[in-house]
Amino acid sequence: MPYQEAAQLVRAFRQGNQQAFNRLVALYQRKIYNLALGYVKQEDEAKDLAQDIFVTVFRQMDKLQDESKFGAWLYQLAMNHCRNRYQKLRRRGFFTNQSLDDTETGLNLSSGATPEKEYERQNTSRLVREAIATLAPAEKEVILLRDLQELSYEEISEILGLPMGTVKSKLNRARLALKNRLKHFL
Amino acid sequence: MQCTDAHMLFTDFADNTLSREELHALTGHLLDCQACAKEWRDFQQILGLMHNLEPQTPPADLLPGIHAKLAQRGIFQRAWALVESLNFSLSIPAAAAIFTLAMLAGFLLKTSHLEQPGVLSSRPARMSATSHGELLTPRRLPIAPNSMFAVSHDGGSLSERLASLAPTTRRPAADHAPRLLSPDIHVLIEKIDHESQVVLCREIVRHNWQLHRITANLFLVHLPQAELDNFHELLDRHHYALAPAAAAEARFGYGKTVLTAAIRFE
Repeated sequence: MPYQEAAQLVRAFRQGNQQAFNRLVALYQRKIYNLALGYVKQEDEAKDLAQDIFVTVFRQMDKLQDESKFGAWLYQLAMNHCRNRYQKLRRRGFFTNQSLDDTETGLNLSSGATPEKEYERQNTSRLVREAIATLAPAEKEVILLRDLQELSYEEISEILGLPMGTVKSKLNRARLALKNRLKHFL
Repeated sequence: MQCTDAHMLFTDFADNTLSREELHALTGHLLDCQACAKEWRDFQQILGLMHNLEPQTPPADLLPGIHAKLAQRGIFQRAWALVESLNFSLSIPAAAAIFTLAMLAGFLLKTSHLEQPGVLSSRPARMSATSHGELLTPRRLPIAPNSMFAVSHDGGSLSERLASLAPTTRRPAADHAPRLLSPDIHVLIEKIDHESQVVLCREIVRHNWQLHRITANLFLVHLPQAELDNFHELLDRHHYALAPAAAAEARFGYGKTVLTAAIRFE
């Protein structure tokens, strides 16, 4: 992640450059949208959640102390939003009302792939994502941040406010739990 | 080394951050213990699967949506600032009395006859949305299984069987209110297996059309009228019939923003 570019954009935004905010969104929207999707599974909900996260970023940017820490700050905000939304949706029975069939996107054929192979690949992805979604929140968080967002242990430690050793042991437990959930598939 | 101790080292083993002693102990255990060796292979496979997951592309309207939300909240903020600037001085009993009166008025309005249609509508926005073809799912009446009064898309034998159901379910034209709650298009898809149903549903979702599952075999789809062509294209992959016959035309429902199609699988 281009931290220097983010820091420059934060500075520009604080000086009144609204375009800098758009650039920040462009820089992080893929990461944040996928993080949200990992939590709520449903695309419209993930879009709404990602938008809310960036709205909060816009409104609370003056609370960011160190511009160079924008990435970690953004992830902390995002995780808080995701946790709150997840709880809210769970209370409303959002997740129990979803079936495996009606939450996924369609078959997107990439060039050169046969429909069968592509279906198999997308089906595998779907199963893995579903299995991640069923993990306990603490396990899911660490998997999303490390294995899907590809953040370093240092970054995860900063975002979650946990010692690095704890992050590693949580991650190991989460991966073992995921392996157990997918053992029939392996 | 115990098996559980070995499992606790898998992440460090994968990251290549084990100490020399730990590495020696773990590899020795994996050579001796078939079960743990398989656990380790599965662990690696899971890592491979996760790292091969492709990130989803965010929707194109993510940024415009952020600006819309910011603008909306800006209005609320300004309104709240205005209220604050008025500097009401209200005692707690007076505020409580106003609140109680407001609650009472709301209750009376909700239970009074003024709510009845034709006297005074308290939901003009809902009615307006309905009149523009944006049907309201929560208020939609459930569709009876025999409500597929379809005529054939291609004039085959299926159409005759479907058409025979017509007199029992067709609503009179003058029955305006229930008609607003009925789907614009009825589709019957025959000889379709579960897998193909799932694929079709995914295609519908991929088009960003709203999909509602009514029963295991009955779905409602809300789609923009402008995309009716694409809807036909999806259906063309199956043996289907639809009603009314005019719905086979791309211009069907022209003038409406959104069309609702009921799809029944058989």
